[in-house]
Amino acid sequence: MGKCDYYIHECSFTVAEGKDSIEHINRLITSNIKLISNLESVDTLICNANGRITDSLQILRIEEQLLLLGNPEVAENTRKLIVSGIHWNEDVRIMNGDMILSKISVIGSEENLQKVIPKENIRLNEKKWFIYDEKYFKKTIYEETSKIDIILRTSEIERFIEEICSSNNKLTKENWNRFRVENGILSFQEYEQNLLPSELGLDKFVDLKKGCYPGQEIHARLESRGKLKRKIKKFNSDKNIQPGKYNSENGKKINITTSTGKNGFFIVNNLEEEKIKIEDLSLSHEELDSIEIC
Amino acid sequence: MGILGGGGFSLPVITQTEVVDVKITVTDNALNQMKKTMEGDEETHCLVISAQSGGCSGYLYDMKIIEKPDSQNFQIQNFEGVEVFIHNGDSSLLNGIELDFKDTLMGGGFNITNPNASRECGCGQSFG
Repeated sequence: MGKCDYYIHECSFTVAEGKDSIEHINRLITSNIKLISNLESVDTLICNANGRITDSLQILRIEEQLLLLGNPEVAENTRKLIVSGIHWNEDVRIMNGDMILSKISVIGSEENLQKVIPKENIRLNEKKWFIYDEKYFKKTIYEETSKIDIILRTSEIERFIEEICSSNNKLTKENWNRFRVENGILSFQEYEQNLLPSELGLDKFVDLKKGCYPGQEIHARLESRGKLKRKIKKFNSDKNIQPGKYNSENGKKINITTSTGKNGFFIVNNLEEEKIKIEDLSLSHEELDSIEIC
Repeated sequence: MGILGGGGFSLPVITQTEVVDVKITVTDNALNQMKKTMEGDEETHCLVISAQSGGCSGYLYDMKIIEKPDSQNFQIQNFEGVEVFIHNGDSSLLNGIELDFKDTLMGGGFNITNPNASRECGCGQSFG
């Protein structure tokens, strides 16, 4: 077997079921999931009334159920929000799947990833999840590598890793962050900064034509006449720098959300081309080409 | 069956647990309009005031005159023969509201003032 890396995510799992579950969840999120089909997933955001992101969700439809993968740090609040808004006459049940389900990502070359999938000759569709042996698989292709996300029962994780990943390398959180930064994948470190979707470059997860959802007024106003105050960028530093808030020598407020040492993401106000100096280190920066959420 | 079914387990269902005793007030204008709208169906029908997720501010009001539902999960207040039902699940969001009616061509209709709301949408239908 060729070599791949794998990472076990810290995820929250919430299940919504009942004939009104799509309608109910759709009222809370920034995207439109009314036409979501079986085994299709939608990446979306939950925002507060001020338009700020409170959670990111990946919503996967499994027959008549919705599986919501979110951030464990805010899972309790998100579930409370979902449950408190169920209309008395709607058929919606919300369940907690945290103890039951897990998510793994396997990263490697196309050729090596083909060997990870436990059934020969099945090429994964990038848009839809593929089900095999009660596990769900989805592939994402990046510039230099590919990733397969796998959702499975927690009780099967050990056996799966042994069978599929035993010759592969388990990524630490730091290594996973390195992969995220290389490929523009945002995580809770970015969402927890009380930002608008546009400030994180997440406009593609906001559907202003779907009708009202919490934060919609703010997002619509920003789109029609607003100007972004802050923006996320990728940085390269000549020395190691830790996540945190800094003031640069040229008077900029720098909020480093993710750092893998000399690379990472940071949020900054109105930055042009100039380099940033923080004490004895120098940061160069670039726009994120494509931004994903996890 | 898939990952979420079978396998001899069931996922724990999360339910709304906070239920408070609801007391609402209705202005004379609102009561007159409720009676007018009921048109003598007070014996069989009621007004259900409820909240659901959505809207710009987090929750949306919903008001419907319907045939009286099974009263098991509702709190009921009677206003001169007109019964107003509020579901236990909405009790903490709607306790203390005042229902008013404005008879104007623009912006008229039923209007809810909610002491639990820290913000309301311009249209008055959403609160949070």
